[in-house]
Amino acid sequence: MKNIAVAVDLSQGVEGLMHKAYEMSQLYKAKIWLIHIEAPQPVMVDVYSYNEADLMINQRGKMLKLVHAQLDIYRKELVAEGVDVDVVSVEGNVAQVLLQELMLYRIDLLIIGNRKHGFFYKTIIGSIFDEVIKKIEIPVLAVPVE
Amino acid sequence: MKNIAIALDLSNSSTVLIEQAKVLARANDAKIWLIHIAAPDPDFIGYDVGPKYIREDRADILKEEHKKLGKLKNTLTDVGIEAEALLIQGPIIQTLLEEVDKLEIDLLVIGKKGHGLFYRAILGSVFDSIVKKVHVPLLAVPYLDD
Repeated sequence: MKNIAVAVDLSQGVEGLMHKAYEMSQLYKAKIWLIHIEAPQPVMVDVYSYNEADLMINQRGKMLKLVHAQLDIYRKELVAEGVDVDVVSVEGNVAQVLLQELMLYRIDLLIIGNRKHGFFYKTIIGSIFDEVIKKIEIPVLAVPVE
Repeated sequence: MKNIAIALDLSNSSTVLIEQAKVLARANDAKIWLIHIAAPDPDFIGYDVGPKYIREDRADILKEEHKKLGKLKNTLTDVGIEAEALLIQGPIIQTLLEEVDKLEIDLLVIGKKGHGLFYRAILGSVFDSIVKKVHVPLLAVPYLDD
């Protein structure tokens, strides 16, 4: 096994995923790919005034910066442990793009959080997890996170 | 990681799961539990001549499964990995998850088959339920139907 991907969504519990990824990378002498997929910005903003639309774009820019800073922290932590790490951050339909990236980088194992949550989570985020699990053609390690 | 469980349906592809678990067991000095859940005996199968044959048939199937499971266990113990085989009758999902709790399993390895409609309707639902309900890390390994 040469390439391990971690699907990172930057919510709480990611540390657990990182720890597992580190263990697995040591075991298989593998490289780690931290993959973050950002859902695209809604296209329709013209019902707002120009200022509001501008504000939304600005906020999104700020959020993406935070995301990248956080990904970089995780990357540095792993590099400090001597692991070969790369970060991939892509925008698009989350499940679909994630599966594409796995193919692109010839990933051998995907590590993903398996969250136990309420109704809201199940309908929105749960559906991404379900779709990935259903369609993926490589081994998946689903780690329960709180 | 001390205890790794493999949920086996005893199809020919079971070896794929065992190979994956072997690597992890070696690295962590863990014990492997081979678990096969057999369908429960029907409560009532009628008063006619049939039942005896059905019972004998069921007994034969169980004997056959027991033998297969023993063989798979030996492939592990032969190479110096501590392994235990469990053949349990009961409702699949509930029984499997109970065993995972009882045996204090740290990782459950499970097969994930193709996408056929029949599979999704019958067996896929077992896989989905386990993914949803399990509280330990789950390694889902794709393999082909026999």
